Amino acid sequence: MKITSRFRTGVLVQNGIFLALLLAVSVLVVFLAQQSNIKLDLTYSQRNTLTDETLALLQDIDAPIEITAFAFPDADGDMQSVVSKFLTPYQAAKSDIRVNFVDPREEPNIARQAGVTKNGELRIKINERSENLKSHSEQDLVNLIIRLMRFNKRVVVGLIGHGEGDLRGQGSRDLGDLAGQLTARGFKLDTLNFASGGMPNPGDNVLLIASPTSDLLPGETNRIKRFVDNGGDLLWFVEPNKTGKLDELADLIGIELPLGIVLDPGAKLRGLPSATFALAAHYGKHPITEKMESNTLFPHSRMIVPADDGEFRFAPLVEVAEQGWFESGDIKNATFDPKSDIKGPIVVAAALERNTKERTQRIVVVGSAFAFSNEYLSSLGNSDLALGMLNWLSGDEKLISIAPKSRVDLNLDLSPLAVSLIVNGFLVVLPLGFICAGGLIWWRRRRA
Amino acid sequence: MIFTIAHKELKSMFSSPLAWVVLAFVQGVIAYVFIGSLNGFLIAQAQLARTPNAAGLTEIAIVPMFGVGQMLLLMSIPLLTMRLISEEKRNQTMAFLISAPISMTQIIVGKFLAMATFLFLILLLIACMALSVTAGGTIDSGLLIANLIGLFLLGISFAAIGIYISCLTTHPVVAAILSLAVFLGLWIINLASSNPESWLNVVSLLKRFEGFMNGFVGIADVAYFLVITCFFLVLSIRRLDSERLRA
Repeated sequence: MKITSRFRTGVLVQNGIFLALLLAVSVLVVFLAQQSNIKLDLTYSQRNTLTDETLALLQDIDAPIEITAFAFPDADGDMQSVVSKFLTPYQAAKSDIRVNFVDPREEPNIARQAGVTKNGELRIKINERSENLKSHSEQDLVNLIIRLMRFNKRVVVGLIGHGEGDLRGQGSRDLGDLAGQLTARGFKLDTLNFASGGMPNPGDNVLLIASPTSDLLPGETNRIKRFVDNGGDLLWFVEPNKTGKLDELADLIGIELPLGIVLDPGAKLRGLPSATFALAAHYGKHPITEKMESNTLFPHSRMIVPADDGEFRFAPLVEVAEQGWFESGDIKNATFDPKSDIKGPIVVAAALERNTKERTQRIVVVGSAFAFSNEYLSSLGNSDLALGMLNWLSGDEKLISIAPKSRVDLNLDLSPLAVSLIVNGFLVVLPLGFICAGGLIWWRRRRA
Repeated sequence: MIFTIAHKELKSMFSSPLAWVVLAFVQGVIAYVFIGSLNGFLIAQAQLARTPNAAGLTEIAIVPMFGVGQMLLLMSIPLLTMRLISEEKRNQTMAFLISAPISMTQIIVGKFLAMATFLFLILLLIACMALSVTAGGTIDSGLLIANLIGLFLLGISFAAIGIYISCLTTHPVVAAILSLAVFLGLWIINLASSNPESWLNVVSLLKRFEGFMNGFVGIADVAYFLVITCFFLVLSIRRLDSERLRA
């Protein structure tokens, strides 16, 4: 065959067309495969894959989710890669999840503003509401998102008019700081004054009675009792030494509030101003306190005792004064008197539950007027505890429980013989064997 | 016929010391990483058991082998593919192959199969190391399988690119340097594509391998590796065909 220049051009053109077609087919295949989005998760118990509940929830959310991750590399490894690995499946399921990394060592102000205390902590923001997440678990993240979305529109209503701590107030015994934290997390707040307003609907509201200093009128007490009787949720901070004519309410929910104060001599040793400040380090087994890691401070607290016959299930939340006692007499130069006083630990906060026709009624009683007031909210873990209580009270029935993914490969117990076989076999014998084989072949070929 | 070529190619590969040295080097480095991370797991074991959502034995001791394995493939595959075609040209044996009653497709696929067998051997060594810990515990075998699949796909893509570059020149050393340069370029793409939305992630071979390292076998990723492999094999066949025409 004669090769002419025309033939060459023909071949060139043909080659060009072939290359273009090949490229087009390749790009098409890659593009189509990219659309399929099928990914098999081969790990044990599909560890990388989100549960159906989570996926359904993410589908439900229209608003974008902004996540700020406070992470930096430390002795345990690169936290940034841990965080991005944790968040990748969520980003794959919902395209408008934006993740932004902040190194708290470089921008300490942003981290402090966000209240970050742990490497790897996430700040999740939806619809201008935000909350921090310390653990990297699917259940915690999902429930946090549910809380931020506030699918149920329940309102926390603070009673005022009897010298109660006011959700809008800035005084030392008011609750303005707590209200600020609640609003940031999507809670709706309101106040109730019996002089001007009627009783809220029990199904839609959590009533907050923050230690009235003057007595309620009998009619007002009756309205509160009716609210609770009809299944309303209640958060009650009890004033020391008086109940503001609410003893009937205590009877109704099946608790006793003996007069007196908790004394904790250990507290004074720890630098607190007096023995009337009690430190709580032990928490009951309850959804409110299961995540509590830090201690909490209970100033001027009183004891809560379950009454013998109650419709409500009583669960102690906080126990204080392990070395102290409950003093029923005068607190000046008080000493423990086994006849009238009760030895610690003393329960100063409790949760109560009762099943009504439609739902589970929830009540929390705190034996301190000041623990969550502006003055002490920022002490130790007090604000975490307060938020835990309100989260539970505004009880999102939608909160889901996702079992942690099980793993098979958490234990390794190698005998010394096995270790030595692995180390010597793989690190010494095999590589040396390959080198020797190569050397032998080279030597034989040289001789041949 | 393809298998005859693959067999001949493997024989010549293992009758030169190079393949053995590569094998020894790869085994030594991977074993070193494996034993180091195994030791790390043994030390951290008690603490990990208490941490929720902690990484397990497979992730801590076995997956790092694949992390270093991809870099070792990146460095060693050019050494193995460099002489596949270019040496035939240099030794003037290409003329025999071309005039033999076999198609260019058979030559290229045969040589590619030889490379794939060599890769399989390396994966076998890694799998043996991974399975050795079952003497004292269980491993997440699914995660191991995903990693093996991923590294094999990455390896054959590298091999196909290496074979094509070997077709382009008559000097094996030039082929090796060129392949290494291309692979390093691919690696740099991976470093540059830190933004998850970047189009570089779609292109980057190593980025796609990361999914396998986490236990995912994605259709898109498998397809991408296979397309890259086929693309360069077809180009190689075309190249040899057009050379035969010219000869």
